[in-house]
Amino acid sequence: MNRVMKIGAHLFLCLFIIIMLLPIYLAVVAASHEGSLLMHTRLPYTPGSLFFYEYESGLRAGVSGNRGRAAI
Amino acid sequence: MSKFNHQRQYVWLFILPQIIITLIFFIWPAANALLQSFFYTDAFGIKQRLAYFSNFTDLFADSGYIEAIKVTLILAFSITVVTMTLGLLLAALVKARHKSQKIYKSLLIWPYAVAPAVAAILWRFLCHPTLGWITSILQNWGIEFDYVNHTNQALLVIILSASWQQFSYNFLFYLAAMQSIPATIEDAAVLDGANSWQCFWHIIFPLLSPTTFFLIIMNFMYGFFETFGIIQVMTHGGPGASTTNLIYKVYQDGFEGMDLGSASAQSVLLMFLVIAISLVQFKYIEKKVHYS
Repeated sequence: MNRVMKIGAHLFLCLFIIIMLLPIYLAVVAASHEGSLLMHTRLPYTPGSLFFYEYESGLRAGVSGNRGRAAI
Repeated sequence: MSKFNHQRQYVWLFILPQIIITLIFFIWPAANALLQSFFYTDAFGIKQRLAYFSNFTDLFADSGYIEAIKVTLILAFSITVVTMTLGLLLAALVKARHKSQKIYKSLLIWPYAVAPAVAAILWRFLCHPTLGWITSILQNWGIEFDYVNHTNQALLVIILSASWQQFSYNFLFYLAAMQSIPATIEDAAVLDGANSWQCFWHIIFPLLSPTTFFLIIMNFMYGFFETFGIIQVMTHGGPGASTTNLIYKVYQDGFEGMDLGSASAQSVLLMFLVIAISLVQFKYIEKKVHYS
């Protein structure tokens, strides 16, 4: 019984953490897809291929609207 | 004596910057708001006419203000109940873990690192009426979800996103409070024949009452004053005025309606509310908490 309760507690905690981290996961997924995709279709559940590209351009040139220009 | 006077000069020198900052950034704006609240001001802020207490009396005759009080109370109460219940439950579960405690603790405080406006953007994406993941899941279960058009759903979404952000704060405080309770107290209760449920309700929970009281105050303050960013990003106070709370109404009346007198009167009332809550907190937090 004690063991069952222990596993149950772990399961509950893991489930709660998944729910709590869902919005942060969404931010990661949204950051890895083309910006125009987010406005027109439902966001895919898995990360896309642009993850590193988006972060690199974000760090180099600021927000996406500023790509190609130096960050001020 | 001269040494004492010399030290007093240093004391004033050290606290002077803080006094100047307090005067410029707290006392001066508050005094301005108080003064402004007794005047009718035109939209450009040029002409003023003495209104005495009319700005205050008009507020309580305005059904929109009464509605905003209701929304604020619903928000503050719901956020307090949700975050404190979950915070206590999760803190108790995490405290009982030994090897994995640090991992759980680290993962559960992540939402607190997210800024309110960013949290609101994430929740807006999640709950978007056509593109959101939560909407999609609920639609698969046959539940119609459109927080942009349904007043109750809009309020629910605001409560959820604010609770999501504030939960970590409650969890951390409860966990720290539980960890500071000496294990010997619990051991003594176990020796006396108490089971884990009795141990929690009759030993641990009463010992957590100072933390509980502190968190009630802090959560109410959060619900009253710090939900502005979430409301502004997610609903703009709508649909209708269903998510317009007191702090958002100050913004709406002052910056959108350009009614500076009314907005100042509302700010003054909120200021007195904060003072009252702070006084309760300082006066009662230590004195009125009993351990049974």
